[in-house]
Amino acid sequence: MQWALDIDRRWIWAIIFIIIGIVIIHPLGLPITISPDTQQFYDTVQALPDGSRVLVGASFDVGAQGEILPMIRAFAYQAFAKNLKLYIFDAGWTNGPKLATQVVDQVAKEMGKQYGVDYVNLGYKPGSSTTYTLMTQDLMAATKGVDQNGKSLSDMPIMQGVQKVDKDTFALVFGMDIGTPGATDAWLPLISQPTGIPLVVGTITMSVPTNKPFLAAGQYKAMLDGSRGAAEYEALVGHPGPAIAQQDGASLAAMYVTLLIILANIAWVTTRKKPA
Amino acid sequence: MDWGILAGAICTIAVWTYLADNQNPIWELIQHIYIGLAYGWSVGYYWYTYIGPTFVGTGKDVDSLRTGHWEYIIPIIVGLLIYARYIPSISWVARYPLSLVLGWGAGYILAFNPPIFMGQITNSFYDLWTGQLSSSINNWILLLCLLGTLMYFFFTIRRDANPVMKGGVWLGRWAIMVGLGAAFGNTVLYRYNLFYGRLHYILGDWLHIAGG
Amino acid sequence: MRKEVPMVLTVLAGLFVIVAKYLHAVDQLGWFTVGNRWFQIVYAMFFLLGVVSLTIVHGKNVQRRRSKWVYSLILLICMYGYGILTLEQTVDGPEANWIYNNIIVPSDSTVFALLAFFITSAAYRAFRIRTREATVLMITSVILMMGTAPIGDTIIPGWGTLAHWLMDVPNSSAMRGIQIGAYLGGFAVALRILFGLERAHLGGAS
Repeated sequence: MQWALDIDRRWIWAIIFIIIGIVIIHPLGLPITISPDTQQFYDTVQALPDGSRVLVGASFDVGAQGEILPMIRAFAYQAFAKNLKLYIFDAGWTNGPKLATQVVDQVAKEMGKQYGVDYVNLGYKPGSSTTYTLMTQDLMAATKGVDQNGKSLSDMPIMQGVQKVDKDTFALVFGMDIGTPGATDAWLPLISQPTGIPLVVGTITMSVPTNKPFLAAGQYKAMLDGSRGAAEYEALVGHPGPAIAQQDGASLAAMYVTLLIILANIAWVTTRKKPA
Repeated sequence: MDWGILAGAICTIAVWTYLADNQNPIWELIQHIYIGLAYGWSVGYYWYTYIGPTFVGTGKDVDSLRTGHWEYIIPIIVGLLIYARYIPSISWVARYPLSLVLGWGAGYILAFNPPIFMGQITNSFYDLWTGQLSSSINNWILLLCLLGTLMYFFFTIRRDANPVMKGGVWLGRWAIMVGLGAAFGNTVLYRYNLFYGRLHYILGDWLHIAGG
Repeated sequence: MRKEVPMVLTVLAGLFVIVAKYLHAVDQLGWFTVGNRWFQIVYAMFFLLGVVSLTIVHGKNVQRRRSKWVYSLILLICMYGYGILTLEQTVDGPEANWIYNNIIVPSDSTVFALLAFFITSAAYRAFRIRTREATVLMITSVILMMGTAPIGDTIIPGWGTLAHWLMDVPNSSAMRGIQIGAYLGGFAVALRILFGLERAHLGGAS
């Protein structure tokens, strides 16, 4: 079994291409059951009064878009069906608001929603903690009164009556968490906790374990648990998309890595030298 | 032909060449192009989303230098002092904005994080008999694993000081292993999900051979 | 002047936030809002740091014809060329957006996805049942991987439930323990900064 320990890692990598390629060409379509976390997320959004305002915290970067954008896409379907108004913003990740808006644009087009009326991209504004807090004090100052591309916010119907992020104006914060700043160190302590606006979170699969204690404590109202949560959410809102497709890849990946670990341990046990 | 998809596919494959050889010229080229473009992008982005409105006031209701708010000259100058770090003779001046920002950040941690921390503490007073056996057992496990984990990180008391400490540290170590195992398993899935997206781009968006 | 003033500024800035947050009277005066507006501008002025650093490093490479200087030249052309383009037409302009969606996004997301390969070979090389703790770590990660993906429930019904339980109960309490420690550590570091005990940013040892 020494061969198994000496194998060039590029062979291991080549098999990754093959197995993921196979499920892309021939999807498995494994059944997906809805977890209580995702159901809670869906119910929380569904319980909002029609036309409520939601702050979408696009705290993610290009690297994490593969898992986060499906959540935002599914959320946009549910939100627009309830005529919710979406305010996309972040003060920590430059790419997040632009990427999120591109996806919301597509859903909006499909559902007949308009930029500046039903959703707006407040853009990335520098300043991190300072800017998150400034949003709760004076939104126009925090955003400098312009959207991502420098268009005046005061001309947009969606901004009428919005002075700052507070409980009277916003019904929900949907914050992402892929790292710092994210839900645990921005949306929760700087926005949700001081204002009392309920916080729901979308997190990448990798960050699920670290975010669980906040969900358990009720500090998050609900949470989408990574790609699996996004897939369940897509199924709930009735718009299957990329997250559901990803589950096939995740399934084969889990099996492949498990088999590799078993093989490596068998090889290690059979070849290790016994103490004299 | 969609030239955008073709360009994206070429970039994707160029990055993958790193797997074959991490010093190959295609990889070197794509990483330099990518870094250059990413920083170039940030210039235009910052200008329209923030810097422009601050200086020339494109936002109607917002005070800017153009609308006579000259007091903003102070933070602008303080911020610009950071660039003194590139001039060796006055590089120490860059400590001024850095110190302010660091102090401001430390203040934020002490001002805003305690309520979240306290929320975690108060939620840890578990109901040890809920009336249901399964949830009661879960709460016992939650409490004991939490106490064990905390004990594991006590560095001011010897770990073999007494049986309680010894048992707590033992339990804590196992709980942490479960936590780290969960973190590892989820990280594997996360990375594969990202890879799935990239390969789907090649096989589906570009070559149109994806099923489903 | 070089160390004392920055140290005083650090303390004053930190105390200002704490006082403004906890003393309602100060908050009422609107000083905190003004402070946040000013600090937002200070932060924003740092936006060219990356561009300046890259220009210095790669500019020198080109100027001195160091090895691989051509790549440095390409980087500078891309950075300044695209910077000017985005300034001219915003990042959502037709050409600027095309480059963003078809070069930046595919390259960046593929770089992050590369880690799938390295984490796989790391698991293959490093996961060994050497100790009981290592075995627990390995078994947990396998249960979680298979249970989070739909395959677990397909092979053995109830696998997903076990994975959920592991995530919600033992993992949750261990992570909470770690986070309580991290919060306390964060408070300690913040206090050290405010007390002037942390001086690494002043160019000296703490």
